Amino acid sequence: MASRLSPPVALLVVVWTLVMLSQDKYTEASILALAVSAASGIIESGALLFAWLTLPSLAIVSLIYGLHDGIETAGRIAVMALASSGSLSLLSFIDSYRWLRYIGVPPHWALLPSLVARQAQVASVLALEARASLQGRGLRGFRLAYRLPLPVLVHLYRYSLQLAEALHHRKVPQGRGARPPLKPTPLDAVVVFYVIGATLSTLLAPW
Amino acid sequence: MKTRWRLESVSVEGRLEDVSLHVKGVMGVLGPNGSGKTTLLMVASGALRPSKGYVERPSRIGAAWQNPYMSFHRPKVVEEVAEVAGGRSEALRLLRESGLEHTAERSPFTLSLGEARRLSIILAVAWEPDAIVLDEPTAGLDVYWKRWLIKLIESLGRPVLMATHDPLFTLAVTESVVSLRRGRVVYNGAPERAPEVKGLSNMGVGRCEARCLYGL
Repeated sequence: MASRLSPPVALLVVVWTLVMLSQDKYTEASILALAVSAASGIIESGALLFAWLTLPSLAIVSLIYGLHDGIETAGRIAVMALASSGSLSLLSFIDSYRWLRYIGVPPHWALLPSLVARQAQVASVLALEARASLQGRGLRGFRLAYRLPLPVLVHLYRYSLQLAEALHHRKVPQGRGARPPLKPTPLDAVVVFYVIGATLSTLLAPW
Repeated sequence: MKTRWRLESVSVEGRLEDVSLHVKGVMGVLGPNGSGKTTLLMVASGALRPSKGYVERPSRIGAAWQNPYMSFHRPKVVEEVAEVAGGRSEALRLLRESGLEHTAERSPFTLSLGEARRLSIILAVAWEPDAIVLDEPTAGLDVYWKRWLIKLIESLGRPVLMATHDPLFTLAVTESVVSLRRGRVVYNGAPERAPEVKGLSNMGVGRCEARCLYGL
């Protein structure tokens, strides 16, 4: 089975990376960000996105404040992007729903983050499909970009109706039977041990 | 204007493997669900970049994909067609020929699947591209409108690459066929001998019989 992170540990990864970066602890933050993104496989699939996020910052900050600041800013953005996208892609939607229920969030609100994440995935697939369809009728460039949102929104709305119907028939969010108890995953254990160890070493040996 | 349309050793990770073909006339793409037909069409039309291989294609390719509603973005059917056909009167003529005249003032998103399919095919061909890609163009069409589609394809006089699950339609309209299995080409040749069409051929149904069944 593929590696998974429990929602509290995924949140810990994002918050801890942010705190470490704010304390200028690049090495500790980078190790965790790289480990999480390697486990999720996001480095290969999101290479273009990371380049799009970091390269403009590198160019603009270097131009205004010098190369050193440019590299530092782009590095921070890259580490944060790797940590957050890696930990998010290791999350299971149903786990996030169950953890939110566990801490007392009402059923329909607990379902919301999972539905939004799923809709985002659907929207990206629909956008590719709509682009191919509009290109097929001769639209290119700005004319295509200007017209792209309508078919995507219409299909997203239709998909939402179908999804709502399917959720109702499958008795979500009440559920149709008992589920196994929530347990931490092996990756959770590795991440938590690393975070505790790195935090202790930072506090005890701050140099 | 580039008119050659060929794919050489094209691969798309996990979906297509080492596919080479030269599209001439009306070519059918057959194969079971998930065999890579739509991926092949997307690569051939330029909508998807292959991870390996070389694609040479005409610069203007019209396409009608599996989900016809995806190509609509205007409030009325007639406006959709007028945009590509160059005017309202021409649009109304095209709608009349395709049996959609009564839907001219309706939203394209309210059309039935068969009507939407016909409209998306018109939108793909009306801007006079150099070549056409059709992904399952017969889905949702009855026999009468399949006959209309055969006539339309034959009147284009341009290369057409078409994925379909309909062996009778393939036999009636295509000049050559490519069969795919798990992203690989297992047959490239005359439609009568394609694995998906062989059953009909063994029963004595050839091109002439297939066209007769469509009333052509």
